[in-house]
Amino acid sequence: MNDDFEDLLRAEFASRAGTPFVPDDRMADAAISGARRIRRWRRVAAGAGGLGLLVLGAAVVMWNPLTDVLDRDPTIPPTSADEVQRDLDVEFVAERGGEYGVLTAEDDFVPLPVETDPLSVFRVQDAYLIDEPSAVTVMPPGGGEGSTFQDVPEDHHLGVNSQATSFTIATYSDDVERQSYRIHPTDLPEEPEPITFELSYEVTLQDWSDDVVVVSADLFGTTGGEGGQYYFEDQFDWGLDSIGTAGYESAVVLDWNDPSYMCVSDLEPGFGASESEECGDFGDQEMRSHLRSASGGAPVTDLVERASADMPQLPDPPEGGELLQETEPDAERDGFYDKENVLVDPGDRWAMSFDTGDETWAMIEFAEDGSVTRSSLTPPEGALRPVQSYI
Amino acid sequence: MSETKSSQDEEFREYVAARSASLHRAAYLLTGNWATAEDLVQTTLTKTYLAWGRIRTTDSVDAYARRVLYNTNASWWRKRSNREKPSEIVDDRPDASRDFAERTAVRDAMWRHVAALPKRQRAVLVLRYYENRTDAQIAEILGISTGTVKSQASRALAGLRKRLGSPATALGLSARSEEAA
Repeated sequence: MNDDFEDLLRAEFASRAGTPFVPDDRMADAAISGARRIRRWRRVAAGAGGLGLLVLGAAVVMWNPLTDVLDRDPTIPPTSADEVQRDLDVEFVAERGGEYGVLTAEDDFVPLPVETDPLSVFRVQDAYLIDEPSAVTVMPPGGGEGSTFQDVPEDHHLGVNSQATSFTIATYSDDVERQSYRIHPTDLPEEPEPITFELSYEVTLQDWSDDVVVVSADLFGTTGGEGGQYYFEDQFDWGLDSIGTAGYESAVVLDWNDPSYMCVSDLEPGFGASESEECGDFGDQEMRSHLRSASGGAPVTDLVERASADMPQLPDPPEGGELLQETEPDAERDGFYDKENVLVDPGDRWAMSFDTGDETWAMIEFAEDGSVTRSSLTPPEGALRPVQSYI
Repeated sequence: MSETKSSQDEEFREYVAARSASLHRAAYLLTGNWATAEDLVQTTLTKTYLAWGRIRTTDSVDAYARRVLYNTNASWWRKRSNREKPSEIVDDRPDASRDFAERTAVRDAMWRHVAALPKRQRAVLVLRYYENRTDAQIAEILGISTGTVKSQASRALAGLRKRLGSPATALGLSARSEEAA
């Protein structure tokens, strides 16, 4: 019986797909420019408080955290370096006299232990993180040699947890569809061995504490939003098992589209993951109870709430034909994202964009009352980029 | 742009020129319309380019792109699919006087049934009956077990059978045979 239907399906598929198709040369160029834009956004996202923008499919449709802002009237007076240092505590990576350092909010110059311009500098609890192409250095706030990891692949990226107490060096595994995460505390010398785990590319690391790791993935595609017991790790080999082996109590998976919906894996610290996950809505008392229980009594609610709130709200996918148009350079809004450097404050107080050597930088300031101010910033002498602070 | 980067881009363009038509056809069968298929392929190519530096020297570039295509379709498009209603149910079984136009209508009904299937079931059918992949290959592409491939395919075919009756009656063949006899 089925064989006949199978023949029908074969004939139907062949017939339907048989329409002559002429490849469009612009698709490769659009893919290349789209991919480069995503890489820029990844850098923005890494600075904006996590690794959240690794949601590739959504990023391609021009998810833009500043879209609403960029649509507004751009006519705003300039901002001085003094103002951003004084009012927003912004620090800058700067080059002075052939030396690289951090220009603090008090205008002190703290030398960095680097020979060349670093990729980024992050402020975390009790340290600066200095990201270079093949090394990551943890330096005390007052300066000094710090501790350097020299064995870092060039395509790594750096993430910091929301408490700014630890950071991750994320690298691609030999298997191109997995990423390895090395977790280090910012008070580095006390930790002899990094914690490591490896996740499928379908899973994005959002945040973590000492006991719980929060990731995001497509849950609705399988559950349709229904609560209950599911077998994601078993079916999709997401890598939750490796989080358990790394010693965490639980792994929380938030849905990409609806981050209030989640699945919780009750891990066996040091050994692996349970065979299934319990899924449901974060607002559900039973789910919260399960979350607390799975986390071995560790504080987890705030962590999950924060990670859920920080997740980008994705737009609907584009209607037919929009994508090519959107990936044309002209579709960039106001050129803010066209710049070589686009940096967003992890604390959501500001965003800056500029090309290397620009005398003025574009700046957006986000006030606590929700108001937004656009301006141009004249950076301090020798400033290369702002330090992104997680504290 | 560095020479290496430029060379990589050229390789990528060559890959797209050689394989995008094939990706488009598969995307069309997955999505049901050419415009959406184009979006899906564009997303797939963008993701593929993101990994290009690592995969370009391997012999699995096309396998990687296909994996991205099928899995992107299963995840990214879910919001659209959630809003879509399954196409109209074909309640009436074919009668004995079916002519060519009616056969076409039945084929259309089958296509609408396929279009209304859950994403993974549809992906399994396309991989099995269009790309002629083995269940093991399908499992690898979709990141699911071979058991799940079998059960998804079985469920999809059962739905088709329930909706259209047997293939022969769906096309009016058995009735014609009876008439001829």
